[in-house]
Amino acid sequence: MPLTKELMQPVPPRSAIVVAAERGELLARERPRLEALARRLVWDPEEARDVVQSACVDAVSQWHTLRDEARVGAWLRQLVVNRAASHLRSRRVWSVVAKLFLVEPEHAPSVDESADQREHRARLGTALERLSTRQRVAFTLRYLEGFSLDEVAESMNIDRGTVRVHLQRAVKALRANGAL
Amino acid sequence: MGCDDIQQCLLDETLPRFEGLTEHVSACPRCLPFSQSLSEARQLRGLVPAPGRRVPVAKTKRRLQLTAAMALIAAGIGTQVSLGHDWLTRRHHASPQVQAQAHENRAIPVVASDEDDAQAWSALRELTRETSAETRRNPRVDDPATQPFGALSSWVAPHATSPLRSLNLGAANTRIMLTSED
Repeated sequence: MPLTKELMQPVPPRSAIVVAAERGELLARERPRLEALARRLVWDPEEARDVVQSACVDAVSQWHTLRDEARVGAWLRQLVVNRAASHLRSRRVWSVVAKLFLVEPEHAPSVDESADQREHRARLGTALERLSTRQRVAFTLRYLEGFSLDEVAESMNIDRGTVRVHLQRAVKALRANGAL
Repeated sequence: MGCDDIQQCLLDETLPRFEGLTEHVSACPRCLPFSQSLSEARQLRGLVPAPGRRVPVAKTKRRLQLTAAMALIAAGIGTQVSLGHDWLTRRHHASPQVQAQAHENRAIPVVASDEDDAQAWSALRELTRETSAETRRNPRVDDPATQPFGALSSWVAPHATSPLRSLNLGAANTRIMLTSED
């Protein structure tokens, strides 16, 4: 391209470029933490990456809805939780379809864990699958991720009392299914 | 304070606690297992789930598509068979009037040259007019005696006699027999 034409191209404001770069950098920095969260929520590393990718796309398109820049971490967590809950609901439907069409879930056991650990994780995973999506998300955020009740409530966009109810039912159901 | 409230207290440390909570939990058959489960749940922190137990969506979709295609083919074949059966049944149970009219439309140009046939057809049309008000559309199915049998009435009914059969219509009789109920 000739130099004159290049100079005539519209140049976006520098501040917008800087802001976009900062947001991209922030997302890249937060990504491992978000993937770990998503992995515990959806119980699968590949699907967790998809969930985080979708959440990042949501973040870029909805950045203007972020009120407090200091709380961007909690906001991103909320987006990941929403995406993961949506993914869990759709996977629940696909599980029913898969059962109807006799397609068994694919097993990929890790080689570096004992049989007891594997069995315990499998039991916990199966029991978590049987919980409702909200119970599962609340339990995972509270006991696998270690968030406080307020943080769980903020991530799920519900109040603290509702989180307690979901947790109470989740613990009872997990005990009934032999996972606790 | 009931067991549900106590379990909520165990879940949320910020809720106000009443005296004797610990004693209740250690003695209550509902709260004690809940408390033990909660302790186990608190030890799960940091657990990384193992990969696996993944529903193969692509495989499920492929199988769903195959089944849907087979269901569509089966539905198409079923519709064709049903329509064919319906058409055959309608043709079989068509009223003598309709059959005669249809036959008239087809056969008149052929028999017009034959004087006997022309007379026979004339007599047939006259007879059809006279009996149209008294002839049932479907004598077997409409017969009250065979109505309870529904679609099977044509099997259980005695052989039907039509006023058209009793006529000696000469050459035209052959054509009438071909298009009549039997």
